[in-house]
Amino acid sequence: MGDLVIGKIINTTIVSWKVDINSAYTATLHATTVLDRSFNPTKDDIRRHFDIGEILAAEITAFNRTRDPVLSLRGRGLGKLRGGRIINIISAKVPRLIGRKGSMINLIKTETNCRLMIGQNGRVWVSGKTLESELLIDKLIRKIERESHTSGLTDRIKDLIHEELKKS
Amino acid sequence: MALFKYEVPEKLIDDKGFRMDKRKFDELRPISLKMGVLPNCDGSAYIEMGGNKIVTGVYGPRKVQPRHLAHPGKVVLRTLYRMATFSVDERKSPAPSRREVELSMVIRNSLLPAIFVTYYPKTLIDITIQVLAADGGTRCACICAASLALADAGIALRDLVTAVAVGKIDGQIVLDLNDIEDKEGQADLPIAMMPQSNKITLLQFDGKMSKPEFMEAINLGIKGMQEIYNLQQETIRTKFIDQSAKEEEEQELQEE
Repeated sequence: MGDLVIGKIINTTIVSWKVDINSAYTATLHATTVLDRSFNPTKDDIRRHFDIGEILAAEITAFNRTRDPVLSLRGRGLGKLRGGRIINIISAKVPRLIGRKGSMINLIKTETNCRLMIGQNGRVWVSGKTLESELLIDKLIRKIERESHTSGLTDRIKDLIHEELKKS
Repeated sequence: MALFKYEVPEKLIDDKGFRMDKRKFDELRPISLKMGVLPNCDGSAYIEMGGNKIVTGVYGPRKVQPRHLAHPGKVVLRTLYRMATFSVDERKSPAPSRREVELSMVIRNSLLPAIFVTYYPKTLIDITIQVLAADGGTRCACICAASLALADAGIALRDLVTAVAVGKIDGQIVLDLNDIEDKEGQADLPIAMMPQSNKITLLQFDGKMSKPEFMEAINLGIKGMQEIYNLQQETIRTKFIDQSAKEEEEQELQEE
């Protein structure tokens, strides 16, 4: 609960969205929690807010074995993600990608000047000014995923970024 | 009529105490294990145990389809054991046989106690097992490989499940029967267990044995399984060492 996830709208009902969050469970996002008011299906069209195929950053507010995950968009930076690209990793490697107190993610953010959002479900959203910078991050993330169990990884990633930036 | 006939020696154990493949009574066949061999599933493993060659793949936890099969508080485990048509001496019919259905169930039941089933409610884990070459004791080899594949898929396990067959040939209790010993011997006893908690998850028996012989067989099996268990753990370790070694090689190549 409280985890940040990156999901894709796969279906709509009259009052909610069904969101694929890269898990065995499909999450629900209710329209009332998004609009912060009562949602009237006769007046409002749910697809005008989010349509099928759109990408969201959301927080999980409720989940247990009797209830499928429920999402909310209350929080900083949560909501529709425009542009950028999604990189999928194994969800078990997410903590390594973030690093201790965010050391790894902050390193990547500051060195490459890109916007990053890491979902606990193993989806990473990357948005950079250039295609090259996004591809560089893809390369870095793949390396972190492969070598997550080795020591001194943060330093090696730093070296790799400097090396790649020098080239371009 | 079989086109290919294997020769059965008159004695399965010679005067010096060696078996037909030059093994002692308490020796396993050579085993090699590999993890992460299939790219398109969540976890996979490959085992060669004597003449056995088996690939296993794990898919999940994933959505249950059709929905009514889902259990509200537990994961559903589905196992599919299949033998390739060319895996045995005489071509096996490609249709699923009664034996395959039974072995699927047996393997499922022996793996289930190791899985934390309540961690994944309303989901399904699929295990597919393909026997490419069979040489006796496939169910045991399958269990060893399948538990590694489950570990590779990152599914929460109490322990790896290890299995081995013990049997009686020429009046003697021997470890890890091969195909001919299995067919010509007097008894066959496949065992699976979780070595850390010393819990047996599979015990099948076919043939005749006295009570002391049975106890001897179980103890011999536990000894053999400990050996396999060490191998399984080693396989998990080497998977990660291999990965970092590969990465270093790639880097060196790029630098050149």
